[in-house]
Amino acid sequence: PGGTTKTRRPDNTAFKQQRLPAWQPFLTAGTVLPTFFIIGLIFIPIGIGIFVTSNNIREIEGNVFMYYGLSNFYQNHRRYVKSRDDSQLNGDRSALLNPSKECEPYRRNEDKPIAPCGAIANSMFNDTLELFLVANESDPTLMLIPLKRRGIAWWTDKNVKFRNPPGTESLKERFKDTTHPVNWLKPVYELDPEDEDNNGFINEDFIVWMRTAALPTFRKLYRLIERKNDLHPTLPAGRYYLNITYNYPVHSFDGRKRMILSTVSWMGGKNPFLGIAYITIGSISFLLGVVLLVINHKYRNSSNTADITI
Amino acid sequence: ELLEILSFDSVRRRMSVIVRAATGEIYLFCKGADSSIFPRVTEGRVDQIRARVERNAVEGLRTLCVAYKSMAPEEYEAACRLLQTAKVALQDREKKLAEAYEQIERDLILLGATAVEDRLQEKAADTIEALQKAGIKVWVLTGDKMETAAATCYACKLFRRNTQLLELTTKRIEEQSLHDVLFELSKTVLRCSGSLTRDNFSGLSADMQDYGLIIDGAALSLIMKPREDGSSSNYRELFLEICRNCSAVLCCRMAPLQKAQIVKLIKFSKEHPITLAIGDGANDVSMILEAHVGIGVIGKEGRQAARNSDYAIPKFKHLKKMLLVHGHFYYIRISELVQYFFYKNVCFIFPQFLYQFFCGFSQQTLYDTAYLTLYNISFTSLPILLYSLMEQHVGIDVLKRDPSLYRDIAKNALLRWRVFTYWTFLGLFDALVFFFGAYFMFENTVVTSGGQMFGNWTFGTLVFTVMVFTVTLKLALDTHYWTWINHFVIWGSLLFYIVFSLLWGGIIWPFLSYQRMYYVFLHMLSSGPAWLGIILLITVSLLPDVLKKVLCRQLWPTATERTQARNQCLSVEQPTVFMLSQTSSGLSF
Repeated sequence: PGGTTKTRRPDNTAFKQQRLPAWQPFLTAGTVLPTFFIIGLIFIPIGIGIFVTSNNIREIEGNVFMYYGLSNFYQNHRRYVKSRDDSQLNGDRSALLNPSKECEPYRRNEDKPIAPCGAIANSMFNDTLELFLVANESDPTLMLIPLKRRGIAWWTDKNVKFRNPPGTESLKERFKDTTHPVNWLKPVYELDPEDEDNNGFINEDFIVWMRTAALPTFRKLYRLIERKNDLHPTLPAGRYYLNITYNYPVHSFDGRKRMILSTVSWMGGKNPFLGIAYITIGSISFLLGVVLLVINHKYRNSSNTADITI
Repeated sequence: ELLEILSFDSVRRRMSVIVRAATGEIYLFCKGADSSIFPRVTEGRVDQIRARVERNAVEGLRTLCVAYKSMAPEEYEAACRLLQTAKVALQDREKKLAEAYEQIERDLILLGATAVEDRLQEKAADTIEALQKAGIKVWVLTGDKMETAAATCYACKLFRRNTQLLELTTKRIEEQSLHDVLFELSKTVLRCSGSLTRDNFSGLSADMQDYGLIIDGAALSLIMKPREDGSSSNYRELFLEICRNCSAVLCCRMAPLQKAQIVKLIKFSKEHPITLAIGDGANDVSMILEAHVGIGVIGKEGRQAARNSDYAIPKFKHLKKMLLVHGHFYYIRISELVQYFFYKNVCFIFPQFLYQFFCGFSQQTLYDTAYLTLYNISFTSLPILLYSLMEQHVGIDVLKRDPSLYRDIAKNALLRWRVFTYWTFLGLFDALVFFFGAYFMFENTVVTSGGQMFGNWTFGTLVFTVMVFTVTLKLALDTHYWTWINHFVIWGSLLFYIVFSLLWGGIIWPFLSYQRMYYVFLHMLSSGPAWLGIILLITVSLLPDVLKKVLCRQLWPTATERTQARNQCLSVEQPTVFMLSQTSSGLSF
């Protein structure tokens, strides 16, 4: 009927008739059991490896990292996190003189724009920590441990994200017509007068502080203690003297400060959580595998008899 | 010469024509259903023809009676005038026409009867049997006589040889009152079923008594008639109770409006079942419109039914694949779509909520705004979209072969509160794993080999990465039909996430007012513990669901799962068991 009328029959292609070739898996005990055992067999050794590595971080050999830690300090507060101007910190001249509105109320002071603006910069940690080794019991002279202040920030932060305003003049000249943040004693171009490459916005202490921490209890890298050579340990056993120039007030918000010394392995600092977690999950997985094997065995016999359904 | 046509209507079930013969005589010829012709006949071999008609009906033929009378010219004039006034009446035209027809069509002489064999469509019996096995109650609503309809029902396997037929017809109601008949029937039906639940009815077991109900239009109108003493609702309840315990119901001599009435009655009965009405003629339109799903068969009787329906199919047999295959697929797909959407958004938002406890409730977001925006649009949208277009949890031929699999999705099984709660709790569990897993990893420790610290954006990106991978892999575990398209969208979405993250944090984008994501993703990937943590958290999140699936399949398998297992084990065709039995009635199968 209707030889010339167009037929409305759908195409008989594999796609339109839902006949595409397909792999049709479904999870049975048979497929999942080996997976559970494999997970168990892989995770447990990894966990043990991580745990051992983590626990071995106690010999003070190799590079030693010195951190300052703060508690009850909410660097992750929303108003705080957004209070910065990344263009200004990237060296943009127009942003230098006209900071972003996000920095309010730390945007202008005494009718001049603040550089660097914002609450994060304003609350920069400014205690100074010095470490001394008491040479021996009889001799009370203190030996200053050399603390390296370079290499503590992310390489990309230091070299790409944070840039001083361009120009050939001195740093002080480049920052004229701006003022320092309200809570700072020195302006930003005096953060490290000895090292031009660590002054201004690219000061590594400043960069480290500007990377807002995720949780209210955090630590930030302060200094590196490089190892001298393979023969001597970096920090030999003995008594040490920590000298703190206390500038940073934390009492008002019930905060706490501390100093942490740590060595670091390929997986970072001391972190038992990961190792324990791997061991736990591996064991659970293995256990589940065994349980499933038992259940499967019990039911395999009953399912082997033919199902008589009509 | 054709003078007048007294057109057909379904209430009076006949039509007439008035013609003038070559000789000048005027005749009125009338044809219609026997119940509407016989009362108007005064002459003719009534008893003989009535017996003949009955026999035809029992054999399943559709019968008509034909009668005539000759009209004198004055009679014709009077009739003409009557018709004319009725036709141009401004008010109550229908009623006036009906009265006119009533006046004219009387004192007829019976000519005879015709019988037409209305062949069943091919595979109609097969379709009805499949639907019943699927747990779908099949009712036949027809305008035919009871005998014709009953014969047709036997032919299409709606009634089987061991089906006990219960009658709620005018004949019985004349003998006893409606009240008595209803009570008697309900007692018969409930006596046998008792505590047995009809839902487990397998369809072919020989020991359970099978009931079929036959009701005709007059009886139905008696039941539906509103009464002053309020007993009509009781009658309706009784009627529905009887129907619930019958495997099939035949309603004959139904006017089109009554078909709609009965559909409505079932729709609003206690269990609120979903109703589907299928028909091919104009007299089925009202029930097609009334039911939840109306299907029109594009047939020889024109396109009225198809035009008014939700779906139109060329043949009745297509209903089987439509319901058992396509309907089943669509349900599986849609229920997974709904559940998965809630699940992945619980996974998405709950870590944000948890973070508030650690950021002074300042509404600081855990993830960067780009991730917030693109999560539902780009990273997790295509996999579920293609799943809901392509998924086939069992093969098409398996579904066609085994209609009882349809029962697995009966009563909205996959969208009940219980299932939804499971998905929600899974989402909450996964969110807790993501967040606290990252928290304990980050808490007060360093995770890079250079000793440098991560910030809050790296923390959020870690949680987000684990989340995107987990929800996508969860969908991958749920997918049972992996075409190349599924592979493409699932692995492609993950790849897109990675590429996007690399690009987003790879450059100082000039149009952005903030550069907080610069190098964050890459820096995270350069940390060994971050990788280990991601792998661990994804595994922990997916483990409970896999365990639940395997345990449920092992300990409480649904029929579908049993079929899947059987299809895997057996490579040989299942043996079929034939049951032979003697037939005692005159009908043949």
